[in-house]
Amino acid sequence: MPPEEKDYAIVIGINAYSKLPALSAAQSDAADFIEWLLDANGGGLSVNEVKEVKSPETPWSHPTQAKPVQDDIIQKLQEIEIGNGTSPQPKIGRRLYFYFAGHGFGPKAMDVGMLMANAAEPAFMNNLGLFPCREFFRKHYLFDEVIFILDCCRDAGYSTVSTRGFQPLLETEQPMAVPPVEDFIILATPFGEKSFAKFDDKLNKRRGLLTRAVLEAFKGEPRAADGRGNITAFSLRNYVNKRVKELAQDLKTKDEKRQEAEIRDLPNREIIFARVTKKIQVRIIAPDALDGDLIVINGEGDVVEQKTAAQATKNQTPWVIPLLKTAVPYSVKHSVTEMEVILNLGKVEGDTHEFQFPRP
Amino acid sequence: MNFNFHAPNDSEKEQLKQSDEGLLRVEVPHWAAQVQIYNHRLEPVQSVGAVKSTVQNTNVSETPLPKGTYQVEVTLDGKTESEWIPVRSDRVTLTSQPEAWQNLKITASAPLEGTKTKHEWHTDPAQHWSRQITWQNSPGGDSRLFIFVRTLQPKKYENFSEGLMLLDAEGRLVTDFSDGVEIDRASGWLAFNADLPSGGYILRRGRRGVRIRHQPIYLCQNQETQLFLVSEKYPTPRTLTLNMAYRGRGFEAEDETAIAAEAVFSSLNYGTSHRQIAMSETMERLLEVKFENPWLGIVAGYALLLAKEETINIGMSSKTDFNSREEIDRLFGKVLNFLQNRIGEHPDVLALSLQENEPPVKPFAFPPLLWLGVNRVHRHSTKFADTIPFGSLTDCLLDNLLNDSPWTAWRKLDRLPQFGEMPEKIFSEQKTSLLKVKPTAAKFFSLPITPLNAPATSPVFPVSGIIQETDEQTNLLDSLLKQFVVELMDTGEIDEMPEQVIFDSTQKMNDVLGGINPAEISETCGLPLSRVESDVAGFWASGQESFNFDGEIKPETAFIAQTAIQSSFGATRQKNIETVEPSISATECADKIRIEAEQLLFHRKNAKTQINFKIEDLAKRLLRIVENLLMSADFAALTHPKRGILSANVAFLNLLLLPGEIGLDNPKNVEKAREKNRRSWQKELAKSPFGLSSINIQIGSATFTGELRRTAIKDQARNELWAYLYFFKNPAAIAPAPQNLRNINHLSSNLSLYGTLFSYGSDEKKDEYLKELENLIKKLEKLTKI
Repeated sequence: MPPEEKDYAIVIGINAYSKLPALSAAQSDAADFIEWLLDANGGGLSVNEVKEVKSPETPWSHPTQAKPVQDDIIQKLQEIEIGNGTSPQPKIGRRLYFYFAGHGFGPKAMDVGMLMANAAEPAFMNNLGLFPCREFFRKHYLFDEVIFILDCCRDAGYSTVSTRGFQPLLETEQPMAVPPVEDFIILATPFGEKSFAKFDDKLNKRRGLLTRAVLEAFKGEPRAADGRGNITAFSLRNYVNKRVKELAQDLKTKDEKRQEAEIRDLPNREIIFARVTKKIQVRIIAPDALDGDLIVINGEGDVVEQKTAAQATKNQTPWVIPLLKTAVPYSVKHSVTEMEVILNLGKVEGDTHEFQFPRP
Repeated sequence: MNFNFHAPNDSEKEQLKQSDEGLLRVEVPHWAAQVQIYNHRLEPVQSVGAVKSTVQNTNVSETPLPKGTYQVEVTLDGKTESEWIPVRSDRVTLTSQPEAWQNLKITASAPLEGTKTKHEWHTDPAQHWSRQITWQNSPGGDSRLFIFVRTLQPKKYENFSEGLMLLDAEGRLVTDFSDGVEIDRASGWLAFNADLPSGGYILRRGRRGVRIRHQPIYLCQNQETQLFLVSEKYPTPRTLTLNMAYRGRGFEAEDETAIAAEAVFSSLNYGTSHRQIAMSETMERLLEVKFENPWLGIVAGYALLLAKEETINIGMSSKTDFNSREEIDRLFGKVLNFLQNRIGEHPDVLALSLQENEPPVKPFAFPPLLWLGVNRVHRHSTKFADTIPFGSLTDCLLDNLLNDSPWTAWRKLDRLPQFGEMPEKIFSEQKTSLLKVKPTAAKFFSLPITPLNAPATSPVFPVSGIIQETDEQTNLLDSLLKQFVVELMDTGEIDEMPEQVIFDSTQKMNDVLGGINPAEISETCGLPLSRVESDVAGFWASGQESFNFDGEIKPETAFIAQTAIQSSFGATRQKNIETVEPSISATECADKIRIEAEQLLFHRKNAKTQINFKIEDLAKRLLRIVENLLMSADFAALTHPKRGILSANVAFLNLLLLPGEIGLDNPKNVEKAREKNRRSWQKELAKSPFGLSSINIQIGSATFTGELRRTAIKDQARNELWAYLYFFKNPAAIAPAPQNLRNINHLSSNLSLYGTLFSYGSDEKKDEYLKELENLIKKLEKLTKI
């Protein structure tokens, strides 16, 4: 594959801060994300396409000693650029995953300040801002798509703090007129709110709620798929919003239970992250002595199958249809009364399911 | 859920433009409910029909859509519920309110119609007492304040109303509500109604066992302000409902403008789409046709500003966004015009009126009631010193602002505000200010000195810190010293340093402070300009012409001085960065590899298992690679005659950080090891003569032989020996070739990646990751046998 068609990632996980409380899940979340990126059935990236930034295990307490800082992240972007070769095109690759887990703050409603290890109150000057980074990628067309996943708090009260981008180290040339870059932004929490981590019994470690929900979706959770079985930016938004809320309900305090993801500025073109192919054998059962047909309709409104109701009763040969298990339900319609019932397979366990159509 | 359809009538048919379209008609629980529709791809439908109130008193949204199944999501008061609903060609889908949506209701502290917590036993007394004065002995005035405190569980919370106080703008008691109130404990309500002079007040909550909380309120001329608080064990100002009306009008539970204000306020609280609510049909009608509620104007004003922000989509504004922005601007202008005419003196109206590049109409000595307003004022204050007067209540509360609701609130202040000339005494019982100040104002001002934290690739001498936390004066002197040294390195004089250099700290500090631009500092660090100006003036306050290092320096003043040092230094360094291509150094690679060795040791278990021996062996091999890379490095350190090593470059730091034999699984051991290393290095360096000498040391298991240059730095102003600068290198050492370095750097990036995966990734893949680490280490060993 030519380099400009490849996907790349910058994954930042900062557990240790010189002047802010240590975090327990950031590096572990970053590792989970890297595992998905490197999985051939997941992100499908190679080791050279993933650039990782982290804090040392035994940091020194003074900010001047703390790592990583903005320059370390800029350097990773430069490494991607260098590794990509000497193409005359400004474009580096197809997609960039920009993942951050660490402390963050909300300088403005539309911006997020990702705090570097040397950040300290009150000015929080050592940060990397979502807004300037986004602007940088849009101006320079290094990638067709940029996916930002920021699992961090967005504490308000810092409206006067400016967030910083990749400039000036990378902005050496005047930006030129470029084709539109699609970006997709997944934030752990709305402006002014905090994000949390929760112990995951399965993995035996603490995990950020957002990262957990996003990775569930990326790994093919059926409830994260759209009607055609694709896990896209749109379907991811739908799943992650619900899932983070659901996970937050198991946390202890009121504040923790409040966490909701914020996914905004959906892309103009479809971005596909994964596909779901699992089908469930669904038996449709009509009530006895029902006139007309039962029609199974998919999310697009197209007929999947149609059968005379009398031939689909409990005592008849089972009417079984393989249906895709996704977030988008099918529906079953009675041709005579036009009554329609939603058939939701998203939460169905196992490989088979029985659906009893009610008497109209 | 079952759905039925009917054929469209003529007016419904008109809405259907395509042959495969049907009409989705959904009933929602409130006009302020926000509706989002998603298709089978879960893509949001762009033009969702606005919620309209029907003659049957229901709220309905109608949207023509292509056939398919749609997810309809309804949000109200921060809660969202969704349902899947089918749409069929040439059919109208009929949905009354799905069961899930019936729980969506607005929660308000006021017993307003249609809210979740409305009860007649509160509505009636609230309406009655909002029209009757309860505090007959009040000082009187041109404004009115009505406060209604209620509990939904009166039997359980008998003392529901205790702990509230009303203070004037300067924190003096107006009333503690022990008299001049009507109270019905059985029904769980307390009412207070009094005429008072217009102006700022503070509602204070706090008694034994209850956390103190202050919230500003503002009474306007000829207006009445209605406050509603719900209470359990104690009143909760955080969920306060506020409303405003002409004086004497009283509270009306069915006032749709008050309900609208609460709905908009809720959107400010929950951060839902401000655009949808601010631009809804009912809101437009209330703001355009029967606009008479100033509080609705204030909250709508903020919502419109946020709605405008929502439409700003950098670089890719659509025409719809542009039209929305124009419409928002028009509506905002109308709202602001109304507010300026009716309650122009209200701090939130003044905050909404602020123009980015114009000075304020009036200073904000008293803060806006809403946190969004304080934010706006704060931002403005970094440009204009007049916006927030130094020492005012607004200035003081900036350091202690609570962030748990849309209201401006604080518990205790770091500093007691200065109120200037006391206004005419208006209350019979004058007391001193009841505003509480923290016993020790412990606001932490620590400025991370970013430019000094240069990457190892930087051409400058990257003086990182081994910095002991000391007093502000010493920190300032240290920063100046480091800047001086960095400048020396920048000019390339390091190899020719004499035995002694003279430096004038006072002159240097005067130069830095003389070049201060308070506006720039204010913008950089976010402090109000008035405060920065006052602090800068404080530098010279003693009447001396020079900065006095021996006098007391407040943490904030030191913070500003540090910012000034940093910006004066930043400018110098920036020049250097621009001229140099990014490159990779052996030291930087060594640093990265050492961090990986540490990580492996950190995650090794104590048990004497084969895998732990393997990890230990890999870590040791990595440390040897580090030693090899450091052999060709340039080392630099700055030491204080009494305090030891002040700072050092990355190469030298690696000497101190090399963990040796001490376990890294315990952070205390790490600190101990570093401290031990530091002491032995201090001792070693102190032995060396001034000027050029030779050095023979152990770096881990290897021997380093090289040249050492020691220079004394003398502070002329203080007439004392200030520091020693050490620089050593092995002139004969051969650094890795650039191509090799690039490979080492690349391998160390991969090493870091697998290090993370091994330490934090899934257990079942640990062996695989360990194997990868071993392969990488082998390659690195080959490349670093210099």
